[in-house]
Amino acid sequence: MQVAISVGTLIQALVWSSILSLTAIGITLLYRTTRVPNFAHASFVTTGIYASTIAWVFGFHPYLGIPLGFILGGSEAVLLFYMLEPLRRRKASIFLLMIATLSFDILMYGVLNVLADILQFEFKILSRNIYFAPIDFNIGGLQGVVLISFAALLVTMIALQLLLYRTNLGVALRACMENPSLAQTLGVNVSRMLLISWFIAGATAGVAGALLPFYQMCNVYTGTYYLAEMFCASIVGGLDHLIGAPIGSFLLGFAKILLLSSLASVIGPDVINYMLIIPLGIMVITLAALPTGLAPLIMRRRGV
Amino acid sequence: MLRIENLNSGYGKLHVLYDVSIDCEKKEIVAVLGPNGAGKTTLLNSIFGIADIYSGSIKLDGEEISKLPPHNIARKGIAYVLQMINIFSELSVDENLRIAMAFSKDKSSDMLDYVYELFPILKERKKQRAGTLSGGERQMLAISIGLVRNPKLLLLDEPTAGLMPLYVSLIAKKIGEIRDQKELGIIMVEQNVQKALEVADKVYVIVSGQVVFRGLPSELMSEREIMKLYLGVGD
Repeated sequence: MQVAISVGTLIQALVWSSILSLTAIGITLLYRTTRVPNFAHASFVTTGIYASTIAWVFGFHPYLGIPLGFILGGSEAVLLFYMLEPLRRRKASIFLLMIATLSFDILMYGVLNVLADILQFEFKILSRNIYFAPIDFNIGGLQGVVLISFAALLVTMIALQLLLYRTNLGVALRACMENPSLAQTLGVNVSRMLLISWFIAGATAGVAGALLPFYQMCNVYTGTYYLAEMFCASIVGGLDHLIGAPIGSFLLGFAKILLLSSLASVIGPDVINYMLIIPLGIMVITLAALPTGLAPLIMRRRGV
Repeated sequence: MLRIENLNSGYGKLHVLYDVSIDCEKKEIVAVLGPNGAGKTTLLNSIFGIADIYSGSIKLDGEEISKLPPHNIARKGIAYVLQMINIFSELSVDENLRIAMAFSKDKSSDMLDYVYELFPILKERKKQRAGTLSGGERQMLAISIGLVRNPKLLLLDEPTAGLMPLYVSLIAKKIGEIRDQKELGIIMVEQNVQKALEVADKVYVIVSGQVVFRGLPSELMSEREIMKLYLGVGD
């Protein structure tokens, strides 16, 4: 019995980890600012998938759908913010807000199905089997999505770092994350800060969604299918640190792809049906040993 | 400077303050005293737009502020030092003060120098994480966060609560110094009657959401019944 991990498998893991990081960043950011686990993140990702599809339908390369995914995902999150804001102002519980995000996700699922039907019947495309890998570009044998997904993650992390630590807006966001009541007494418009964090979360999820069809076949269920994994990545990394999102995502992403690949070569391809066990298992083990996730441990070691 | 007239306020259906009228001038410390649950903190929350205002008016320099959201009230020049969780514990002392300055109209470093002069211990600990400060030092930082924004009016919610006696006297003394050195008014809610009367220029006693006494500290001292019944002072 021999288990071999190919370079191709490692590259697959890199792509998946980068895309997963882009989704987990939003979940962590929203949890930090609002304490709400956002179930509508699934539809933000699916919106991104259809953003790249729309770009393709209108004759552009699907990669040009990334900015569209950014805008549509962000706008969808802003819409959800305005639906949640009256509840927040009336001091609704976190549980109620969480259920509201789930309701919004179900609503958006309907809207995205309508969009998929329009694309199928009006534009004659297989809108429930979206896969752009065959039209992806290639550099030195490396698929474009490898470079683009990792670059998108790097740009996002650098931009967020600059925003949070080099601008007054970022200072206000950090203040709201730690203590919204105190931030308010300093003249920070907490509601506006929440709006901005919702937009960022939706936009990064939209970008992740726009990249997904280059990695795997997508449909209107895809965002929902990966929702648990997005939450796992965010929780394993540590919900109280933004850097925890990529840390958790890379751990889960690599563990899932490498373990699946190894197990498939030993047991057979049917093992893929149980792939969600891997991130969930890692989450359980991590939380048992490190209840606040990996990021606090790493940051303590760095003396941050 | 601040004039509150016939204020009725509370939280949703919970009516807490009834026809409260209070005023505070520049270079004046107004102490608000009363038993637990009387509505003292609700008064500060009402001024700062956190509580619901049912009727009445709150004017700062003649401008009505009762309908403004808290962040806009802060920008009008009111600083509110909360009783609990009044610092960013994950940030350093210096970062706490700089965050406060970032959202202030007056971004000159004069006020930063002033608070470091007022509380030299904060300068010594400027790189230290605020969450590791002692109770007294935290309170100094909380007051400094309010002060560094160069406000017209400083609202202090029980600034000496839970502090060691040494810090209680120090904080009370510093509040007096701020009044003497800066062009601002201070409204201070306090449980420590003795310390409040030492530094205050004017006193209000609130009981069950209503003002039952207004006057000078010396006048309150002679109101033996109020002192005994509502403030637990005297024989």
